[in-house]
Amino acid sequence: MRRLIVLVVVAAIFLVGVTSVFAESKGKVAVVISTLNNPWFVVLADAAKQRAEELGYEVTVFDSQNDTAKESAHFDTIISAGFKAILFNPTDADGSIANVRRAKQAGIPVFCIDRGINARGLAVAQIYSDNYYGGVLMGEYFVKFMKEKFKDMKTIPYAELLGILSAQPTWDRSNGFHSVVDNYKEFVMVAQQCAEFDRDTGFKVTEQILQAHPEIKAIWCGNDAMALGALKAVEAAGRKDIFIFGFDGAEDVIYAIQEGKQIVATIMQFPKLMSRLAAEWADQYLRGERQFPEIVPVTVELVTTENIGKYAPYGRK
Amino acid sequence: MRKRIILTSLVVLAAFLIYRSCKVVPLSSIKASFDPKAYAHTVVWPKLQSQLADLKKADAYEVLEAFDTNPEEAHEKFAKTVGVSNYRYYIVEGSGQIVSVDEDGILVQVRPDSEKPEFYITSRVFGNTIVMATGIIKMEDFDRIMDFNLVSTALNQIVRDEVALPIMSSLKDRNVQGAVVRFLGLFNVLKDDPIKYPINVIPLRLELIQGGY
Repeated sequence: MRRLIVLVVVAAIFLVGVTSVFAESKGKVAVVISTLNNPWFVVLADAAKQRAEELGYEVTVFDSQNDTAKESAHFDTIISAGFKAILFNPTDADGSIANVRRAKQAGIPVFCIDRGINARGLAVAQIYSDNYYGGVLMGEYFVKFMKEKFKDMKTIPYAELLGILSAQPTWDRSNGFHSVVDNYKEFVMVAQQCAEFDRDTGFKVTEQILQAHPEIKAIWCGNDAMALGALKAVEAAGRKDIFIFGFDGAEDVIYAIQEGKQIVATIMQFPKLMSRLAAEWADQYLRGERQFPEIVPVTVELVTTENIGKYAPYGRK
Repeated sequence: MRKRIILTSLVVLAAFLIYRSCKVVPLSSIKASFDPKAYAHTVVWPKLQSQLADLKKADAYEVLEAFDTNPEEAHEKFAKTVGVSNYRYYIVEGSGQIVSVDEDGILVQVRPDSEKPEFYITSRVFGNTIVMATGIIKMEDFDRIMDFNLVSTALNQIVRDEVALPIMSSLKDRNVQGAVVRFLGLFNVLKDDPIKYPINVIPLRLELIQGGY
């Protein structure tokens, strides 16, 4: 009997050892994020890391700090350190192409998340928010909302805060918005300035706009961080007649809409969904699957005071 | 000294030959060389028109009946999904009675026994609904997603100018209430949301077939 117990214990120890060896053998996955100085991207990174770890990989997160040189250095490290796959949020749609090409040449599959690159045949898949359609949805709501609020005004002046100028989402969102709003002559954009997707910059730029163009009635912001900066500036100026429109579905903005503050709408993106999908596809790729759609637009949805009940920060309830 | 003159002359000659053999083009002009509007006009719009008959479309009446009974089943049976999305894209064909006309579109009732007009056939054509529903262009075909979006925007304008506005301007100032229009159009809805009426429909073909005097 004692011998049997010893045998069982030895077998159990052996099995645990074998399992852990297999777990380790799944290898390292890199998550490269354009910036972690924005809560939205932290969610994107955390979701990618969590899912890849659940799938048995050792995960390292790299912060490019919106700098293509830093991003390039990360790729050097990743290639030399034997990472097996890269879940990649590019800093620059053009400037990041060379990094993806180098990874491909080194045999490391790259899965773009949230943002794409302006090249085909390099990344295995580019899974990203349909930013253009988000801009369209916001443009349609902006027209409807502002026309109702300012029925008697012949022209409705507004300002736009743009994100990082080299980032593809900046222009996709802006172009989508203008593809709608520019068709309505009553809307006049009196200021369009870059606030780099950043809350503090959004605050400073909005302060300047309010001084130069006190007549504005709305501020359309290419992301929620800038919208929160704009909100702070508008509140500080005591301007209750200005409405703010964001993009992302970030936590503070969802709460601001719920509380009836002057941010009246945002576009919900689904960072967790995108990151999880990228991690799962990377795992499938590493297990031999090769059939992936190269371009995968991911749903975006309009969030307003009317439908806020079905949304939570960074997704649906 | 003589050697230096010969060398200088050779360098100048070489520089001249290189200059003559190369054409220096600013990067901006290369980037600008793709003309989305021209591409939409000369390639995409003719292709879409030639494929209208072959598009997989559903009967508008049947779709609306299915929305009443089981929207989930309707999405499954008649709609298309693109990418990872909660949107469902429909291409529908049918006819309906005009309820009213305003500057942006026509309110149409497809089912005579319906309590409300179901479709608003719009001349405000925005977004990627046409290209997503028809698949006439694909994101993979473009190096830059921005180009895909710009072609889509140009196509929207063509549909507005060539399909929607001509008939809408012809209906202006006429008593068309009760007249019948035949349409081929498309729209999208969010799969988990209740259907909101009237549904905005982008027309790909639109004609007055009865009444309107």
